Amino acid sequence: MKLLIVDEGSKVFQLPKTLHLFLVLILIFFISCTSNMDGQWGKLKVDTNIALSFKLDSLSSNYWPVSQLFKTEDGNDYLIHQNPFPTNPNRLFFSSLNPLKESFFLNFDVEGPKGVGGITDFYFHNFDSIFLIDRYSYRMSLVDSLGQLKMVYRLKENDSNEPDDSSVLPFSMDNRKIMKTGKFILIPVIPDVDPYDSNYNLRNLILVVNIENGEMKKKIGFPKSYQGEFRGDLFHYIPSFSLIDNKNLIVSYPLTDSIFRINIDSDEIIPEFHSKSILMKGMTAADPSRWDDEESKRFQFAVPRHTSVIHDPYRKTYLRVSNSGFDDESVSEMIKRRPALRPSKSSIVIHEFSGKVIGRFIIEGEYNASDILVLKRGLFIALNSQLEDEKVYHKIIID
Amino acid sequence: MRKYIIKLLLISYMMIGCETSSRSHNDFEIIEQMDNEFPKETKDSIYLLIPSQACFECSRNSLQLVELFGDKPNCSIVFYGNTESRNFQILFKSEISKYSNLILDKDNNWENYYSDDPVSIWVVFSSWENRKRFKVKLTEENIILLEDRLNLLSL
Repeated sequence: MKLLIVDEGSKVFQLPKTLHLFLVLILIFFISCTSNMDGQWGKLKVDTNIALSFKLDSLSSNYWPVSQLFKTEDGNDYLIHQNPFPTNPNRLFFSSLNPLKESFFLNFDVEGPKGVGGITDFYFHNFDSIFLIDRYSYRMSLVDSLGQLKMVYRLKENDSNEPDDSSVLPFSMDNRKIMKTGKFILIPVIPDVDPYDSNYNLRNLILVVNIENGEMKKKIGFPKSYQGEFRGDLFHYIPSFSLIDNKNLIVSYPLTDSIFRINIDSDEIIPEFHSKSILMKGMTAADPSRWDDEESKRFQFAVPRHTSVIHDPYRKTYLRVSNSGFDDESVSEMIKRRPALRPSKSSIVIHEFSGKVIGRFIIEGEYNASDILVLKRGLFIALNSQLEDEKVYHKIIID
Repeated sequence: MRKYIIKLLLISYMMIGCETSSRSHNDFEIIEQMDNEFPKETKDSIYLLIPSQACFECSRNSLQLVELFGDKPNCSIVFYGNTESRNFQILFKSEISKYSNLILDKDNNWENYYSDDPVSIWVVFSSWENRKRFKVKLTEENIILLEDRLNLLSL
């Protein structure tokens, strides 16, 4: 078949074959470019009619930096959280996902015969086995729901509570929760001394505790691309991880596009697949020679990063969440301790377990991409609500 | 107790880059002052200005400071910012009834003393003549120094 062009006078020209081929290639190139830019990235869709809404107890904060989903034996789902500040007594709040079921909280003593210190991190296994950590005392207590102490674990190799070169500090967040596999508790930690420097070259990002005998091992380091490089502030260093089976973690580092799998036993870091974000364009290197107070804050607020990887076993997918950082004007305000002028953006890339991309989405400031619940009935994202007494999630729609 | 506070400060700096502590400055340091030197002859009283909203670690620091200084004569602790917020009420409501020296700056009377950095803990030395403002890093040394200064004032 030949390409024909008809001019005004109905005179017919035949294009040369080479030019024909060239035009077809150009056309294909433009179509593919258009598809990459516009077709694959879309605004995240949510169904505001399908919502989870939690009325807050008068003793509960509306900010939940660490939460955990838990299903009771009779099939009720609860979202457990603690307050992001110290209270006496300590409390774990159980917010029912079923509006017909009561929410409640459990108290745990700070001091005394049942004292667990000031809880900074927790893992709720069941009502008989609750792991409560006081990070500054390097102490993990195993208690039941009545607060009875069953076991106390020392999370430091010596008796001093002063940080030292080899000690690590428990540090869990929603993108790096405490995990349990078999007889081991996996506690996300950070190096205790000089966290911005050489200690990040060690394998000390997770503390594995044998709950039968209290033995500890530090595990998980950085991929080669991180080693020997200065990467800035804490949040551009510490990885996000989820347990995907009894032995393996899926891991996302803030400044590397690759997603890794790490076998807990062998401690081997294996690249799984790439997950790029359209928001990571402004990624810049940190300059250690200019690392003063202002520069470190500017870097923390401005430089984009991959914030988390989320394992969704129900739909057999991984979600890679990234954040754009704040714009220059907002950063200048934030350095002066004033609120940002505009919210940052986030992105979510959804992958099949094989790494194949299912969808790429942008999230504006209305929703908090750091707060996503993975439920059998779908993915729910937290609304950045101004309401002080209520916390709301909306269901994510994936076409 | 003091060592405990120091440990809290280390993590708070990592969290939000708080000015209340720093790994790079381990000594007592006057960040800003209205006079050239620390007021050696303060005769009146000391005010600790504490933000009503802070990260976990800074909140712990604030609670520890309330424990240390909440009943000291010649010392007042002023909470500034939104003291009506849910988190502040949960965190400090019981402390306010427990300690005698706590003040809520509901009318923003102290705004001039913290407005250029409204998330830090400030110390204001007050004398008959004027009020001298100092922003201090909460290291072990300066907490001791504050205690010493308060002891001197109570003589």
